[in-house]
Amino acid sequence: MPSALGIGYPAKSSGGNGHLGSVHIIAAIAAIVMAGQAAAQPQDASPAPVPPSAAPPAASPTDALRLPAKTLVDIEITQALDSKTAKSGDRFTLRLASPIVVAGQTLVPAGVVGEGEVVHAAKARFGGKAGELVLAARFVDCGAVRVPLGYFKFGAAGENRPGTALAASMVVPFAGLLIAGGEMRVVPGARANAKVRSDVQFTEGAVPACAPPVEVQPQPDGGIS
Amino acid sequence: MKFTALRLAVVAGLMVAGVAHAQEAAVTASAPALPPIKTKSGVLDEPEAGKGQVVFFRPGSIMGIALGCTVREMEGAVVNEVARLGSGKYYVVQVEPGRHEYFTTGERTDTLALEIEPDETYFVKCNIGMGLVAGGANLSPSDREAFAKKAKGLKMWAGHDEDKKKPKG
Repeated sequence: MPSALGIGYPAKSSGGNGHLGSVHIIAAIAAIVMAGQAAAQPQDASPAPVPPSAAPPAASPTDALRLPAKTLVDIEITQALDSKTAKSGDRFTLRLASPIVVAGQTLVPAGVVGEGEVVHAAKARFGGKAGELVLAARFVDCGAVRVPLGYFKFGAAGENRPGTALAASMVVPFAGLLIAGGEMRVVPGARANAKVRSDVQFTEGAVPACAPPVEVQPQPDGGIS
Repeated sequence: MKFTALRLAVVAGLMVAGVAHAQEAAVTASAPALPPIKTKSGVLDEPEAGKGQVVFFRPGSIMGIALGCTVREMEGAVVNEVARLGSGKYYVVQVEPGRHEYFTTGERTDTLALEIEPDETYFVKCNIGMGLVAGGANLSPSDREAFAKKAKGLKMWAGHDEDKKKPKG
């Protein structure tokens, strides 16, 4: 094969057609590969040369323990909500459905609990007005560290419903949402997603201390385990 | 002859691979963007940096065509008129992040509270509902998909100037 490609054959300024053809082919291959890589660059990218003195500093060890704002998180609502009975300001429980991983390290494990709040609730009414629920995620607690949340949206993050509003939508109901008798109901286990509202800096000791609560299982004989 | 044909085949293969690599890299280099929503009045813009954007819309319908949908919000002790939507109209407002309570008045007052986040767009639909006497406007939370479905039939309310231009009487 190398002989077919001409690789390994020494280039000669003169000589038979075979050697000159090999050189030309090698040059053509190199040009094609370089053209392909150049085409892969975005058209408007024009990186300026960075002088050594302006190079960014190496990442510090604490960067790996920093949870950046706007990190997308998967959450699960753990209590039932109903537009008929909910009121603005009511709090509800939620938990992290997937761990939050930054730079390969799990900063917040799945299962940690937190709270959300009902922003708006309205009962179904005569005349065709359906029940309404507008919810917000407030935080999850990771040991002594509170992770503030915002940008609540129904639907798991993996479902990728870009541009959808934070409110329960009558038009496109999500899994975990029921529309019964005109009222909007959220069942326990309904998935939603939110974003970290502001940077959170963990310490070395905070990460292992953050563990989801252990569920107590009642024994048949009345004891607990 | 055989080597020449083989070399040509290899070169051709590398050309195809190079093009495929370029295409794949181009796809992964940029995240997929949402398609812009076009209305009768133009394309829906992104919110101003650091602000939230609320799109109020009222799909065209014969139901309640004679009734208006005026969206208001209290600013302190002052009632601020946010939008006045006739049938088939929409309006976009840029708002500060935080809690906002919008309401309409009619046979009864209907209120909708939203918590606005920076750089996000929210959609609010106005319907004219039946009433015991005259009916009234209802505000309900909606989403991008619902607005996009109706967008081609919606025209932006021109603002308070639009109402001033209408002949009286």
